[in-house]
Amino acid sequence: MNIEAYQASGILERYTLGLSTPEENWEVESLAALHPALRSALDSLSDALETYAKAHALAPPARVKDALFKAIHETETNSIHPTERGRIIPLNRKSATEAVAMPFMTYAAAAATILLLASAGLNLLLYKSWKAAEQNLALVDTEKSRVAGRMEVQKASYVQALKDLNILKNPELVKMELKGAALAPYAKAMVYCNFKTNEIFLDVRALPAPPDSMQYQFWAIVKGKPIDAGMIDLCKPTDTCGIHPMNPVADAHAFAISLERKGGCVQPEGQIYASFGI
Amino acid sequence: MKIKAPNTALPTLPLYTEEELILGIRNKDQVMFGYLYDHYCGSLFGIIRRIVPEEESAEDILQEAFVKIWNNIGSYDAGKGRLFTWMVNLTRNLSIDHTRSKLYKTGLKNQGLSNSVNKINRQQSVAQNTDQIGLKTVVEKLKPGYKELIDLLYFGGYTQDEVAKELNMPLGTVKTRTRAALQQLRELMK
Repeated sequence: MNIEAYQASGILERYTLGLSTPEENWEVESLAALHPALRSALDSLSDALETYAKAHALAPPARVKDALFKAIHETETNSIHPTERGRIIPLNRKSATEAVAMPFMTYAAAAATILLLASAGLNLLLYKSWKAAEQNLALVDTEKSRVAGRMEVQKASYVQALKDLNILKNPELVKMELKGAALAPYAKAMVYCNFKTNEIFLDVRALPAPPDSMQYQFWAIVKGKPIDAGMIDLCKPTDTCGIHPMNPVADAHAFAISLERKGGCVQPEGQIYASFGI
Repeated sequence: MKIKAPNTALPTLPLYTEEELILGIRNKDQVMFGYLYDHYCGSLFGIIRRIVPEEESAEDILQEAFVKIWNNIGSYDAGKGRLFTWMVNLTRNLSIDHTRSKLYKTGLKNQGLSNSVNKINRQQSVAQNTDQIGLKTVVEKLKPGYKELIDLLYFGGYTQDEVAKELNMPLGTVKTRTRAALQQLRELMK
């Protein structure tokens, strides 16, 4: 901002003389607050005009001061409504009606204050109900995703159940129960075997969780010899396990599950956890 | 008219600073307010009398102005300018409002403000104190055109447009001269 150019426009003089518009006043006052040079230029102009006014001073009669203080004293001592203080006491009969100041601005200010307060109250109310609605929405949202999650689980288990049902529907399946060995008495698995097609299905019901480096292996025993029928991928507690097809093996008469190193072995090396027909 | 102490004396030594005065009046200190009145009533009355010719009305306006100052001192912002400037604007607005409504009422609207101002200028033979005489001689050093301009704008309640019409001068010239006039006044008052 070029302060010299601004001053040269004569705006400070017009401001000091009371000739500037309210917008210009605001501008001058804002700029003067920022630029000390403007502030002191304004002050020196004001001082010059003050002196000029003093040079043209006229002493008013003493009765003005008396009436003024009477008016002020009266309003200060018995003012019930502070907005109405400062009523003018007419000095001259004929100007009595002109002299009563209508405190329009006071009423306007009061009205504006009431409106502002009402608006603030309404804002607070709206803000509160908005907040409550927002909280409700968040709750509903959480609930919705929870339901959606549950739906997923339900769907998956439904699909698994359908698959299981399709397998079990076959009347040619022979159902056998693998029972836990001494080291895992609660271990349990079901084997479904189709001796015509050699299909074998395994449904693990309970097995101890294997160590990370180990995996359960499923064996079909044919003529006394164990044959690898596939690795068992134990599901996590939350997953749906269901009935899984294993490697087809012909003429199996017994089954076993052993704990082997990951990836499995050609011949069982580890301990047997559950078995049927052995 | 003779100046009578203590009511209308213009104190030569300031007893209070402007800040003290403002604070005191905000706290409804009537002694402080009396000091303010004594200090500024002459200057303000001088301005009123330039705009409002009738002595009685001018006195009413002076009283009204000071009642307003008393009631509205809270709205004066020292950061925005001098107290006197604020008081002058308040007083002048009251005076101009009065004159305009009066002119309107009496059907003299078309004559503008110039008649009343000129009339008052001829009445300026009122007694002055020594301070004022000193100041007067300083003011007399203003270029005549400048003095007329300041009088019309500052005392007369004229806008620059009205001055341009009154003095039959382009608005641009009025604006340039206004600045030059105040610059000279400021130099003289230093």
